Amino acid sequence: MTSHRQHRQHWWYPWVKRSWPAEPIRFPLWLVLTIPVILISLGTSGLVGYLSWRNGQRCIDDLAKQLMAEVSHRVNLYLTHHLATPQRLNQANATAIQSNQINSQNVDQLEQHFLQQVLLLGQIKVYFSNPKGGIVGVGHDHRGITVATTDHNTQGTLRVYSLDDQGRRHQALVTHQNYDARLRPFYQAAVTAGKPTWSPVYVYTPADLGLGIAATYPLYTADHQLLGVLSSDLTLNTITDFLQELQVGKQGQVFIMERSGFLVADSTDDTVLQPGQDHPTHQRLLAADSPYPLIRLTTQQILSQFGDLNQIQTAQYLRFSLNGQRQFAWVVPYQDDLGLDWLIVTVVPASDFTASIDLNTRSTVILSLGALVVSVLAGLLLARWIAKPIQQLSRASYALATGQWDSTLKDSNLIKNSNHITELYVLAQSFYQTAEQLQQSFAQIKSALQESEEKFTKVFRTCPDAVSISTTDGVLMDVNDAFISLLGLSCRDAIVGRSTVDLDIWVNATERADYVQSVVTQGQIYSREYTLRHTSGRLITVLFSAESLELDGQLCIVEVAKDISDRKQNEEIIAQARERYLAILENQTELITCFQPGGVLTFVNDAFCRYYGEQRDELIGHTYQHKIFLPDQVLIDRCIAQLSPEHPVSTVEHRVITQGQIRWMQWVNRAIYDPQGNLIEYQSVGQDIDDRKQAEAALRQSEATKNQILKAIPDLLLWVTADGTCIDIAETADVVNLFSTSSIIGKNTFECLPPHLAQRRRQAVSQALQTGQVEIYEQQFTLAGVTYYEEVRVIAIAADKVLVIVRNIKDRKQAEAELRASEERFRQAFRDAPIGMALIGLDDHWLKVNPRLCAILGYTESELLAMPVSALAHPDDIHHLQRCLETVATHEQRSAHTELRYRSQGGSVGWVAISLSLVHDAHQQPTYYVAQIRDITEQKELDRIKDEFISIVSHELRTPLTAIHGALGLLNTDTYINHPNKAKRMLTLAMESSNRLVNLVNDILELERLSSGNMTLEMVVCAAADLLQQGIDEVQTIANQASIDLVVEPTDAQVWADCDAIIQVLTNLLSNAIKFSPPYSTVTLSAHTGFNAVIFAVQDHGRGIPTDKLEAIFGRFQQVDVSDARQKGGTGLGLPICQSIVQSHGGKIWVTSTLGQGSCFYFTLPIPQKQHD
Amino acid sequence: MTKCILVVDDDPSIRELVVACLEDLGGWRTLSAQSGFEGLIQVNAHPLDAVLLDISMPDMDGFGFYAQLKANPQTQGLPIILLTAKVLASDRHRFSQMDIAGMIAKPFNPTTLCDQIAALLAWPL
Repeated sequence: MTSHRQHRQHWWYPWVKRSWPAEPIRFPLWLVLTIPVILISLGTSGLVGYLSWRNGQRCIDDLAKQLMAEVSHRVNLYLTHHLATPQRLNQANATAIQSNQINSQNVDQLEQHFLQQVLLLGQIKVYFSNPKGGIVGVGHDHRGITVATTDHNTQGTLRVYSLDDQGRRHQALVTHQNYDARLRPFYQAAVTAGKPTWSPVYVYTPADLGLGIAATYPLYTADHQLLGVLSSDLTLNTITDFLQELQVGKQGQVFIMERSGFLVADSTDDTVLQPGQDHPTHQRLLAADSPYPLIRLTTQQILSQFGDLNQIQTAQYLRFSLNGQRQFAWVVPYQDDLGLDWLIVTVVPASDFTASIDLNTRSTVILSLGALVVSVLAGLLLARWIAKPIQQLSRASYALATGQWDSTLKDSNLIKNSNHITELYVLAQSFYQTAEQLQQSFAQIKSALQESEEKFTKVFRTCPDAVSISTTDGVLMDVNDAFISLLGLSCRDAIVGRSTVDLDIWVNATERADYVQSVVTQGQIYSREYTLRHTSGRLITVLFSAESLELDGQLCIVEVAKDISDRKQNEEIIAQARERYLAILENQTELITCFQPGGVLTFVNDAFCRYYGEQRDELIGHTYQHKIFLPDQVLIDRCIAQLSPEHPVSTVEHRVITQGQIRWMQWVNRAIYDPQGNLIEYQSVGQDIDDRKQAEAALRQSEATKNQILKAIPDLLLWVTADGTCIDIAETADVVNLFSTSSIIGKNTFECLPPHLAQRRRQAVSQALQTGQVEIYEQQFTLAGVTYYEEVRVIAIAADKVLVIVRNIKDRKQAEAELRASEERFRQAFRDAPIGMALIGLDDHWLKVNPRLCAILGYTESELLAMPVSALAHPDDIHHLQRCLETVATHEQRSAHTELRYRSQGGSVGWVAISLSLVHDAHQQPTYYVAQIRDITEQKELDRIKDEFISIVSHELRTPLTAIHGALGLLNTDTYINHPNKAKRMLTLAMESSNRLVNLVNDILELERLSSGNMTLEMVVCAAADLLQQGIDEVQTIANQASIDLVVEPTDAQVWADCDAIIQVLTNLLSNAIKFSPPYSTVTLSAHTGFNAVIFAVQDHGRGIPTDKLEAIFGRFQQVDVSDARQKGGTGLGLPICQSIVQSHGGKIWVTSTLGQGSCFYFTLPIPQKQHD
Repeated sequence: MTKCILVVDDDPSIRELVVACLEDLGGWRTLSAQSGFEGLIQVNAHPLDAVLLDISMPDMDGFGFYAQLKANPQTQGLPIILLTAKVLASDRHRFSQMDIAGMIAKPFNPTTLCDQIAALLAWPL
C-alpha cells in the first residue's frame, strides 16, 4: 500500500514539475484578487474610449457623404434643366423648318422667328448657318439684342447690328470680313456628328463673358442633303453663379470639369479663365492649375488615384489629407444624350464636421481615467477585506496539521474576523468544530490501538500454522511458536534478526525470490506450495500465503505456512496407481469406455478415439447415442436393461457409425454398483467384428447363389467318385435322365449306362482325375425312336471325385446344319449376282469379289484381291469413297451410297454406283464392309448427252426468240412512231427470226418422230432419177438466188424407199450444198446401183469440211461452225434428220471432203426386193 | 460526253436490235462486232465505256474475249455485261467466277435493257 501512495500523482503534477522544476511560485491572496480588478477596469475604460472615437469617425464619414451627395445631386439637376433649353429650341426650329413653317432660305423670316424666341427666353443666341457659309442669328447679351447676318446669305462679310425696341436694326456694331460659318466649331461639330450635338466649350469674346457652349442641330432634306445647321449658344457663367450660391460646409468647394481636365465652372469667386501668355485673349484653365489649393490639390489627388479622368465611370468617394487635414471628395460623372461628358467634384475638409466630436472625445477620455482610478482603489480594499480572514484560516490549518491543537482552538480572532462574510463565518466555525472532534478521536484511537495490538500478538503467538514477519531481504523480524516447531529451530531469539537464507530454510532460493517478487508486485499471494528444509534435513511441503505490510516505514512480508507433507505423499501414491491403471487401459486394442446411465461418456481409451477418429475432448461429456446405427439402438437398450447387481455383465452385437462407415461391433457391458447396490456407471469393452459379419453374410449369399445357379442350369449334374458311384445329382427338364433320381445315389453310374456310353464316360473320368483338365466329349443315342445329342463335361473336383455335366445339344446341332445350308445359298447368290458384289476389309483391301465385279473393273479375282480398294477410285473421287466408308463406320447410317469414277484395267475411266454397309461380329466389333457395285457409265453418258442437248436446244430457241421479243418490244413503244423505215426493219427482223424458230421447232419434232421409231415408212419402188429431180425442184429457187448451177447425172437406178422421206433427205443435202458453195459453182447429184444398195451422191465445190468434223456434223446442232446456223439459216438438225431417215431405210450416210475444194455427201438405199432377189 | 458501248454478238438480228435499243432508247453511242476477235480490234481502236458481250460466237467466243480483255492491263478495267442465251445453272455458275459487271439473259426486255445496263454500271440515265 505504501508503494501505491508513493507512486500516486495528481493529473497536474507533470505540468507543475515542468513549469517550476523546483518549487511552484505562490502568490498572496490579496494580490490575486487585486490584479484582475485593475485589469478589468483598464480594459473597460479603453474599450469604451475606442468605441466612442470610432463611432465619431463613422458619423463624420456618413455626414460628409450625405452632404456631398446632396450637393452633387443639386448640381446635376441644375445642369439637366439648364442645358435642355438650347436643345429644345433647336428641335422646335428644326420642326418649323421641316414643316415649311419657316423658309430656311428666307433671311428675314428666320431673323423675325429667332427674334421672337430671344425676346421670350432672354440670355440666349439662336442662329442658322447654311452650307454656303452664310449665317443668320439673333442674340441677347450685355449689348442688348443683336442680329448677325452675312451678306447675301453666303460666306463673306458678317455684320452685327443692335436692334431698337421695335426690333429694327439700329446700329452696326461689328463687321467681320471673310466670315465663313462652315469653318466655325459649332457647324463642324454638327456636320461631323450628323445628328444633334454640342459644340466644344469655347471662350466668349470679350473674355469677361466667360465660357459658352452651343447646342447644334444639322438639318437634312429628304434625300439627305444638308440644308443647314441650327445652333443655340449658352453662356456657362450662369452655372458658375449657381455653384457660388451653393453652401458646401464651411470651407467646401464644388467644381465642374471636362474629362480633359479643363474647368467648366466652380464655386469660387474667380473666373475659370486665365490670361494668355503670348496671346491677348484668355485661355481656359485646367482644374489641376487652379489658383485655389482645394480645387487644384483635389484634382491632383483624383488624377493620382485614377491616372486618367476618363477612368471614372461611376460616383467615387475619396478621403485624403491636405496640409495635415483630412478631406472628403465626391466625384460624379454628368452625361447627356448629345454627348456632353463632365465631372462634378465636391470637396469638403473634415474639420468642418469634427470640431464638436473632438471635444466629446476628450471628455470621454478624462471620465474613463477617473473611473479607472476609483475601480483600482475599490478593488484593493475589497481584496484586503476578503483575504484577511482566509489568511487566518490558513494559519490555523497549518497549526492543526502540525498537531498544535491548543493554539488552533485558542485563536478566537478567527471567528471574529470572519464575522462579516457569511460563507467565511460558516467555514471558520466548521473548522473550529472539526479541530475539536479530531482531538477527541485521536485519544480514542490511541487506546483502541493498544488493545488491538495485544489481541493480535496473542493470535500470532498461538496460531497453529507457522507465521513469520520478514523483510523483503528475508531477515526475520518475528516468528511464532508453530514456525519454530515446523522447522525444528531452537528458540525465537536465535532466529529473529537472521536471514532465512542464513538459516537454510529454503530448499530452492530462487523460489523465495519469486514469491517475494509476487508479493511486492501483487500485494499478496495465497496457497502456493513450496518446499522448506527442516533443521534435520527433512524436506517439508508447505502451503504458503503472504501479504506485504509496512512497518515503521519499511516494507515487510507476513508469511503463513501450513504443513501438507503427509497429504502430498498420499496424493502421489494415488496418482501413480491411477497412471498404471490408465496405461493398462490405454494399451488395450479393444475399445474401452465408461458411461453414465444416460449414455454420457466419462472415459474412453486411445483405441476408442482412434476407432471413431475423434479427440478425447470431443467424446468425453457427450453421449454415445449418435455413434449407434439407429435401427440397432433397441438392441443396446435391451442389453443395458437386463443388467442387475446379480447379472452385472452382458454381451451385445450391433452396428455403429464410425468415420462415415457402418461397422459391426461386439460390446461386453458391465454395470458397476456401490456397496448399497446403487448403479454408479457402466463399463464397456468392444471390438470390431465387421469383417467376421461380412464373411458370414458372403457365405450365406454364396450358398443361396449356388443353389439358384444349380436350379437355373439346363444341364444334368452328377457328382461321382472315381469308380463311378453317384454322390449327388441335379436334374433338369432339358436333359433326358437315363437314371432314376431316387435310386441312382450311391449306385455305380457306369453300370446304368449303355455299354458304349459307359466306356466313354469311364475313360473321361479317369482322364479328368489324372490331368485335372476338363474333359469334353459328345455322345449320341437313340431312345424310343428319338435320337439325342448330348455334350458331356467331366471336371475333377477332388482327388477322387468328379462333377459330370450333361447338356442337350440337339438345337445347336440343328442350327449348325442350317447355317451350313445358308452359307452355301449365300455363296451362290454372291457368285451369280448380276451386279458387282464384294466384301471389303477394314484395311482397304478386297476380301471377296464376285465375277460380275471383276468384269466391271476389268481385273481377275486374284488381281483385285491383291490391290487396295481405293487404288481403283479416280483420284478426284477418292474422298467420295472415304466419306461413304466413314458414314457406316461411325454409325451415322446403316448403309451409304455414292457414285464415283474408277479406272479399269485398260486405263479407261468409268462410273460406278456403290452401296456399302458394315458387318459386325458378336461383340459388335466391325469386321468387314459389304459392297454392291453397279456400272453406271452408260447411264452417266446418257445424262451428259441429255444435259448438253437441253443446253443447246435452250440456246438455239432463245436466240430467235430474243430477236422476235426485242423487235416487237421496240415496236410496242412509241420510239419508232415517226420512223416507219425503222419500224418496218424491226418487223422484218421479227419475221425472219420467227421463220427460223418455226423451222427449228419443225426439225426438232421431225427428229424426235424419227428417233422414237413412231414414223411408218411407206416403202415403194421408185426411180432414183425421179427422186433426184423432185429434190432439185424443191431447191431450185434458192439455187437460182445463190447463182448455183444444179446438175443431175442420168441414172436408171430403182430404190425401195419412202419417196417423200428421201426427197426430204435430198432437199436437206442440196440446201447445205447451195449454202456453202460459192456463186456460179456447180452442185452435182448422182445415183448409181452398187453391190446391194443404190448409192446417192451430192457433190459441191464449197469450202469443205475439216477431217475431224466429218462424223460430228451428223450430230445434233453440230455445224462445222457455230455461226453457220445464223449466217446460213440452218437449224443444225438437217444432217441428223437425214441420217435418221437413211438409217430407218437400213442405209448409211457419210461424207468425204477436201478443204477448199468441196464436199460430197453419200447415202445408200436398199434395192427393191424383187430386183435384189 | 455520251457513253460508248461495244456490242459483241454473232447474230446480226440481235446485234441490230441491241444497237437500236442502246442508241434510240438509251441515247448512247455504240460500236458492234460479230465475234470476240472483231471485238478486240474495236476495243483497242476506240475509247469505250462498256462492253455488251455474247458468249456463243465463231472465231473467238465470249470467254476468249473476256480472257484477252482481262490479260491486257489497259483494258482489264473495262466493265463487261454478258448478254447471253446460256442460262442453265452450270452456265450461271461459270459466270459467277468471272469479274464482270453483270449478266442479262436473252430474251431481254428491250424497253428496260438500258435501265438494266445503267443500274449495273451505276450510270445516270
